[in-house]
Amino acid sequence: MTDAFDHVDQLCAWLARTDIGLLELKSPSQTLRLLHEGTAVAVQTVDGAEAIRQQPPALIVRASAPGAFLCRHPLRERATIATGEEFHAGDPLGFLQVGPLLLPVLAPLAGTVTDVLARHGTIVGYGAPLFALQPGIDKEP
Amino acid sequence: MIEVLSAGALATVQDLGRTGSLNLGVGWSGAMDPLALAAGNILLRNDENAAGIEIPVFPFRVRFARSTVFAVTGADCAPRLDDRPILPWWAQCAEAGQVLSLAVPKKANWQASRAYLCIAGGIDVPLVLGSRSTQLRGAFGGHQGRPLHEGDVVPIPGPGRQARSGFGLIPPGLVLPFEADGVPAVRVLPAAEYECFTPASHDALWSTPWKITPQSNRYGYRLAGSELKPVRPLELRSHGIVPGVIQVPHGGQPIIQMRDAQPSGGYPKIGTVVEADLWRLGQAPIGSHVRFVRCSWDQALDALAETRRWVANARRLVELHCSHGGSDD
Repeated sequence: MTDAFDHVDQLCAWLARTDIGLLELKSPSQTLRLLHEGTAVAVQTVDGAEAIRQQPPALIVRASAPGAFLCRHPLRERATIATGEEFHAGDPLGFLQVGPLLLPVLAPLAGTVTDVLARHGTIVGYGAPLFALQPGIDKEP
Repeated sequence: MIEVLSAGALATVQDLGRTGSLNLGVGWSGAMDPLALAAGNILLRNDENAAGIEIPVFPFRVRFARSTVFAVTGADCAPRLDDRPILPWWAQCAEAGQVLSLAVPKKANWQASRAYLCIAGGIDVPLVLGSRSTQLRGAFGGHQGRPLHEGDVVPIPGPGRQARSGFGLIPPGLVLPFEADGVPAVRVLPAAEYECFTPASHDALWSTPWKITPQSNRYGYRLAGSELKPVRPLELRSHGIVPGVIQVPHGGQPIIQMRDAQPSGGYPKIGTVVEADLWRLGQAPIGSHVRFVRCSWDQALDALAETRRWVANARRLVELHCSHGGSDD
């Protein structure tokens, strides 16, 4: 199997003919960024350790109301989302129960859940941390 | 409009029922689980008595011909909007052209068999004797007085100003459970001919489970269990009856009259399921068991007050949420 990193020139040539501004390729050891700025294509490589440091910081989703935190819908057996699972912006990650009312805990953007910070069924206050998220790579500035 | 793409048997338009016409020989009709229908209407900020579609057989599919807000309450039948799973008991937006699919309910922590599709503004069929419910026996009310068929186009009102989407309600079946020895139960008042049955029949009525047989539908539930015997043969003239009445025909296997019951009958009545618990029975699947728990008149009224409190509290919190700029996605 050939490595994409061996074909940088070809990738640059293809990229130059498109409207794509940034192409990012990741391997365990390094990250390759091809920046297409009008006419030229700039090449950046970042080694593995550096690439990890450049990950956007984790985001904490907090309770929008006081209530009982539920990690799954009351009629469902499975948690709405588990650690490591991906989600889209606007997806419900969990719920807050206020009496008979069920409010969604919405994902503010696409990404991956890195941690569930409250236990199913516990009463949480306004602003309590519920989920730690890693924003999706495609949402990077 | 919504277009029915596939309907199992007996999906019908129902509101809370056509009460007040028993003297004309017209039964109640109305949702078998009025609490689920009420919850759907609360989620959409509809009138309390707005009509929805009761769905007892799956799969069921409809296409929304215009954008609207809707909610699927009752049994959790893994609703999907186009190919995307959506939540049960949830106010949800639909765009014109989207297809809602409901599958056979899964065995969940709440055993239920009927789903309700509620639409912002309610199903827009004409009122007949004060109700939009389908009167199957009389073939009037609802959508042309009959169950929905594939290809039916059911009118819904234009986009309402009121409904918001993106929140839900907890099914009352989860927070108001009622069981006897781990079997779903309903409260029962002894009825006029109760004392005419043998002591062994009384014991069996209160302390053994009753199976809901396949000969059960919106008209009545035929139960299987211990034989209930009168002390001596009973012959009665036909008299007025209401949903909830438990009759005992000659075979000794009871029949509970349900929402489409005829308004008169002549079998001896051993008990009456209280109005507050008819929704539990309305959701009990065929083949499941039910227990009868004897209650007093005051306990029957307390049970009704409890369900009414749930409805009032749900409506109050939904109004509070929506008036405080709840999410609108």
